[in-house]
Amino acid sequence: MKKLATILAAVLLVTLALGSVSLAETSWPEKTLEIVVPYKAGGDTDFHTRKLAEYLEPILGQTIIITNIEGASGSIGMIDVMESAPDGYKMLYFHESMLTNNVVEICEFTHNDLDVCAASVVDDSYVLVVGAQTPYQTLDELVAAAKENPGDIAFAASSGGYSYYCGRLLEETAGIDLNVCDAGGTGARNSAVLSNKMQVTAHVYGGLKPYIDSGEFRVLCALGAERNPLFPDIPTARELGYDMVGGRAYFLSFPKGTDPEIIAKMSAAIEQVCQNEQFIKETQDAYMTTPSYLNTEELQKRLDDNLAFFWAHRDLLVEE
Amino acid sequence: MKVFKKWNKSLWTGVVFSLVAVAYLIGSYSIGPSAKRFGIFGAAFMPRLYGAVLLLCAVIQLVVGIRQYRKEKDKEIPEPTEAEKKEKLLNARNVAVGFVLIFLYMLSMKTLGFVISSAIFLFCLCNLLLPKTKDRKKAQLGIVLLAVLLPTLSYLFFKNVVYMALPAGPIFHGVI
Amino acid sequence: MLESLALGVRSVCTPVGLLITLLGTVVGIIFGAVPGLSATTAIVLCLPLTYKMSSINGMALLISLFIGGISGGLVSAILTRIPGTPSSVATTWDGYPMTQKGQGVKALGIGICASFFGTLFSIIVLIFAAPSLARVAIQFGAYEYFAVAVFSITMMATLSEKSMSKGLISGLMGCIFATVGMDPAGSQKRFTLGIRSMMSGFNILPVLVGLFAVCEIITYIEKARNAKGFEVIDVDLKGVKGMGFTWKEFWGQKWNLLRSAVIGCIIGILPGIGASTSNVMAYTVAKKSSKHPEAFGTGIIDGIVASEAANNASIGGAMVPLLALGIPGDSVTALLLGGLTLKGISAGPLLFTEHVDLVYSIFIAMILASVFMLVIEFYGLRIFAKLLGLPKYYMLPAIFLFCVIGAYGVHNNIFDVWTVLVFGAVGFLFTKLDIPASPFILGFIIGPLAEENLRRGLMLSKGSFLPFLQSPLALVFFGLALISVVASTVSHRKRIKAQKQSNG
Repeated sequence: MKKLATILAAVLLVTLALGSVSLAETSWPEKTLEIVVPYKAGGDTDFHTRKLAEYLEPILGQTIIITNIEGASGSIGMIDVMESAPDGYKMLYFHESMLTNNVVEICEFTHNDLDVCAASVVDDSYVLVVGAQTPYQTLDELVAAAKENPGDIAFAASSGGYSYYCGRLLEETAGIDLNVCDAGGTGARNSAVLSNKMQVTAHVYGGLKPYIDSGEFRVLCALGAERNPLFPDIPTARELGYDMVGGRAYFLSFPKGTDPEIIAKMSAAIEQVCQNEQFIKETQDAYMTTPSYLNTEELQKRLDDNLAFFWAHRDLLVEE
Repeated sequence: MKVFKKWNKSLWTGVVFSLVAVAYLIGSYSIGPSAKRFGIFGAAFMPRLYGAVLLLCAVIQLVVGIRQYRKEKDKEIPEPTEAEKKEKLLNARNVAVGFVLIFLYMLSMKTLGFVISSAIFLFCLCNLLLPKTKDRKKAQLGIVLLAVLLPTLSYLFFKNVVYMALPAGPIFHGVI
Repeated sequence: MLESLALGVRSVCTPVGLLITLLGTVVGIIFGAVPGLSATTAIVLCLPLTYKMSSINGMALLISLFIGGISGGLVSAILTRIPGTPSSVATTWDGYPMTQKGQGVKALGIGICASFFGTLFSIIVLIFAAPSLARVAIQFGAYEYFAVAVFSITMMATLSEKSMSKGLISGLMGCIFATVGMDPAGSQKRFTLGIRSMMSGFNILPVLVGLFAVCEIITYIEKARNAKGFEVIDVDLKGVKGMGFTWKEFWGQKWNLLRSAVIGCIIGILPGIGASTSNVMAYTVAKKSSKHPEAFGTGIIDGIVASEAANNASIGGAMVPLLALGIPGDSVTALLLGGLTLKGISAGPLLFTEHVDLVYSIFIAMILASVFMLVIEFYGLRIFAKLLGLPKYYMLPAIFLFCVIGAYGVHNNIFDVWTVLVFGAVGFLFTKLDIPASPFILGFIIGPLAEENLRRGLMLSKGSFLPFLQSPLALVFFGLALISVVASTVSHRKRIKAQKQSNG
């Protein structure tokens, strides 16, 4: 009996001690912070980073500078942060290309070589479009035409990019054979569909909006899990009977070995930002996507699951 | 060694670039296989094409060089004077020093930081470029001024005005 | 149309707007003039500044940086043989010889005027014909681009008169170095030696800096000890009136100006190729259409006029697909597109109708920037000349420092700085062996263009070469390529015949 009481008392004491430690406020941040964006200025990753930083500054009470380090599809910037001191003052803002880079063997590191913190945006506004000059009014029509002429309908993609993945996903899910071709960057892919050299492509709604609005692109479906409130008239692929879902999480990470308290504090700050109405509105206006917060555990799980998925379906990312 | 002296430029070009072409072609075999649908036009196609044409051009240069060599083989080349030889050696040494300097500069940039490594580099380079007729001692003041001021001012400008952070190095980290 | 222009004027010509445009032009010129820094560098660095500005002021800043930057390249190209930006490579071929002949000011003057003309020409084209031209531009797909690349190769291969095999070696080395990195149409790593930074390949700016600037410095080291006292870059200012050239000389260049501006415009409009290519193409065409092609390269104004009119005309050209369809024409316009997106403006076919004020503000800002550029460079002529009057043992190291800064600033990566050294060594080797360095740059740009479009085209056509020959646009360029080869062979034969006759 006495032994049990002693053990209980010890456990109680330890718990209290630990609890009080985690209740204590860390004094981080005490100086300027730096977020590395592994792409050049002006792109979507850069935009989301800067917007996040803008709203984080008043919450954290420190300036945040953004550094663009591009190269090797984002892995150079990623490795720069990986090799930095885990003192909580340098972070990486990247998206799930971190995972695909690993699967297509551009980078041997994954999110597990960093301490992930939280996601601020999960962009599920991908849509599938065809050129207005094509005769396909619905997704079913496209699939039927593809079945009749396997390998003839051209899908504009960028090698190793998300657009390529969407094209292959469509092929796999609908059981059809398209001609998924590399067309170059976003501008070149859009040109190809505009001039009817290629017929189909997929991208975030925001990137295709100018052409959807002008009537030159016809949206067949959205690739989110549910209808996107920003363009509610567009059915999801799932509704139409095709079980394919696409979406990219944009998240912040610290170098491995960073103090968990710092990570927790930053995660809470990001959660606050994602609830800020102005932040939500500005993100929606620019990229037609709504910020959604994922905390550290949710994010870790999502990344683990997706990495496993990509490895299991490597042929959807790279041509063999 | 003496044989090399008589080689003309075309001959050198031919030899050097034949070797480069061969090395490149060998290297092209280390390129991974491309997707089947590319057929022969995979990732290694263009490299091999370039390598092949380069080899062809290098061989042409080789032929031109050999022809020229034969023509000039028996021509008398006047022996350079002692002074001329010394000059040539000094100039060649300077060039080598120049390359080494640039190499060391780039190596030290991350560890010493932009400002310090640039200051040392500029100091050395200016001295290297100083014509021998100029008064060495007098010119040092100007050189030191340039070597210290220019990197410092540039660093400050680029960091604070356009937010481009050049390597900070141990002294400036966290200070500026 | 007039109302829209008036609206544009009102929007841009606020005190702040004018100041921004002026400053942007000045900064752009400085960045363009210093080798190692370029228009792209300036825009990348200033893009974050525009986030806090209104969209009109932000775009005015970026576009004036663009115009100043491309134009500024001619300063160092003419005075030091080191092109300030890749778009002024061809300017060095006649610009520097002119400086050596003591006609530096004249070269600068006419280069500035040609730049001004080129910019204005392309702005007019932009204002009046953007939407229809953009529609033509998107008809250029993989087949057509491949044809353009083939045409460019044939044109430039015939440029090196002295020794075709040496010129080819240089160009091929350019293509070869450009293959380092990920392969364009698939995902294979090529020649990366296991170094991660090599995966993106070599960036053109450090390559340019190494090949021209470092090489220039190293070759100078070799003769530095024997330099006569104060060796300076000799620019004779005495007795030079105004811009340094006569009206008669300028008028004599009218066809050259017009033709080069058209070439620059067309190349600028095609997404994917821009000022870096157009300056050389215009020079080549000017040389071939000239009555005295042998004079090119010795220091005549024709070469400078062609190169500078074309590279500035490519600016307006690149804006055509950007403003009309939201498709960026080159790396700079891609940044501009990013700038627009950040403001919530989706550039596309509806830009002209939904954001008339912005579009016309951009036009007016471009015109303003061109005028500012002309005035600043005119008054700056003498300052530039004086600045370069400093002794070479100060100038060259200082230039090198900025080259390093510029190289580092491209990706914030030390690898780019190493690239400078490597290509400096390559450039030095070339100089020692009498191999021209300029075809290298062309190979470096056109090689990848040819390869990625060949392979993309084959992907689309599923391995067949037929569609390449079925596209009317592609046929036009293949035809031009053929004509160019035939024409050079004929003129080559003629020249050999003439030489034999004069010898015999």
